[in-house]
Amino acid sequence: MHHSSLMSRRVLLKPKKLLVFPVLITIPFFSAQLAAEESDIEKRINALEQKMIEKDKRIDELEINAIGFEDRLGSRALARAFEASSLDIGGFLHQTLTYADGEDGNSTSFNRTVFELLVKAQFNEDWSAFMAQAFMRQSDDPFVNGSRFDPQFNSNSGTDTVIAWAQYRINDSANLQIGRFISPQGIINIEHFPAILLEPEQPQFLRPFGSDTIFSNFVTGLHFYGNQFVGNNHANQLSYHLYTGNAAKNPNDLVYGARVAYQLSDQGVTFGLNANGGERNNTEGGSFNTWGADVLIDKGAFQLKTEIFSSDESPVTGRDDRLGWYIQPIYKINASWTSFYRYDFLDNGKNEGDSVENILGVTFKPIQNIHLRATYTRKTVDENQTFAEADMNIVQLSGTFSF
Amino acid sequence: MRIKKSFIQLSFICMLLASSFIASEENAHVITNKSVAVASDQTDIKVMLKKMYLRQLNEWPDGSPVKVYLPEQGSAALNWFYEHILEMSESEVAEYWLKLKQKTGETPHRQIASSSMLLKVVNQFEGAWGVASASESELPDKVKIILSQ
Repeated sequence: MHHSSLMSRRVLLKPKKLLVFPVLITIPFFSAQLAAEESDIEKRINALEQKMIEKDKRIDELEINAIGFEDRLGSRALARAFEASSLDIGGFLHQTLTYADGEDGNSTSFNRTVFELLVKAQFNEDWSAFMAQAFMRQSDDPFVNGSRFDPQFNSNSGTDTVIAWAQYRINDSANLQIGRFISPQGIINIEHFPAILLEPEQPQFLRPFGSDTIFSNFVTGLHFYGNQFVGNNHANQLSYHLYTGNAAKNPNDLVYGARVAYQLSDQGVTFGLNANGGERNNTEGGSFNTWGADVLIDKGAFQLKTEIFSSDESPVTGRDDRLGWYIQPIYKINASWTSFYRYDFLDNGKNEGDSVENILGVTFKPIQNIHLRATYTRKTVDENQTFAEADMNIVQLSGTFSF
Repeated sequence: MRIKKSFIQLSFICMLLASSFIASEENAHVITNKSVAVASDQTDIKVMLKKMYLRQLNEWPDGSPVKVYLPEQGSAALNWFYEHILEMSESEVAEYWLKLKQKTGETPHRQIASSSMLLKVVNQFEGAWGVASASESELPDKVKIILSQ
């Protein structure tokens, strides 16, 4: 009995032994496979975690952007243009305080307040429009309103559509404007706006605002312009302008003009040649032709501007040819401070006496959009048939605040 | 002698620290949409990109319109662009745009705060180019690098 139970036990043990062996062999195999699968799962988890981190980072960036928009707009409504792919609005406020000292008297005045609104509408890639509307309260030249010996300020209020043109752009070489535009002549007339100028009292041959002392500052008509890049690496720039239209004071006759400028990019030098002509305003009568040249040197902290314009006037009683020129060296002390000097000559052809100004100035920009200035001008006007020579001193503080 | 040796060692450590500080300035690269075909000459590309940024040149050589997207103000990538491509200081750039805005109403190019969004925008629009940090190594399918430093 004992023998048979042993036998049966052996018989029962044999299959178990038979099972254990293959299991023992396969355990390492399954362990390796499990380890490989675990490793694979771990890698996938790591990859998912990495993607989650990136998604979180992107969500953080988007939320920061959204907070920025919210901060700017809050609960305010958005302004929308009726018809434009984009509409940009800007402008500036310009204020001056002037002390004018003549040989027989002096006067001080907050003599000019100008608020100008600038609007640029982009209709599509090719069509655009730009407008500048000025609201002004300003005095005439105190040495004209009073006398060359005793300055007197006055106050005139008014508005002026300084610029209003629509433009069709064919490409960089060909653009056509129609409307009111700044005469593309010289350097400072093109720069024009107080926010840009170191000295808001522009050179004498460009005063008074909107006049045609030598040529008309503004024209309403057609303006074609473009530029080409030439030279090594196409670095130098050739620009050209052609225009015709009515001057501000003579809507019945046409004036015309052209400008060519060549910029040597590496040297920081630009040469310009200008020509214009047409009929003078109704008050003066006659016709004129003007030629002009300008040079701009812009090299690091040093800049030099110089322009000359000379007109050939048709014979009219009491009027001669006109000549105006200036030279203006500029030194940028640092990113905020700039100093400059200008020698400015004008013979306005009216036998009033040649006028020479020596201007010394310093400007300060506490931030890029705010331009504060202090200038001193020593002015001498030659004697004429009526008046003796006169010397004047002018100190002006001004600020232009752009937005 | 011992003091001299210590001084030399200290100077060497200071130089290493200083050089590592200098070397940590971030690099960036100029990226474009793959629709853009540009010359391989780096100088030509730099000159062209500067004119495009200044809105003096508004078309690629094939006549297609240019779209410019830049990183946000104050970012290392934008500072790299100002220094190495424009070769203008931040104040010179600001003065340039003030002049252009006043004369013609042209405004600066769009700046995008999110670097990943900037890549997506350049990827999306034909004729687009932008400036991305060199740390953005993974570029979308339609974006390529045309200039790096």
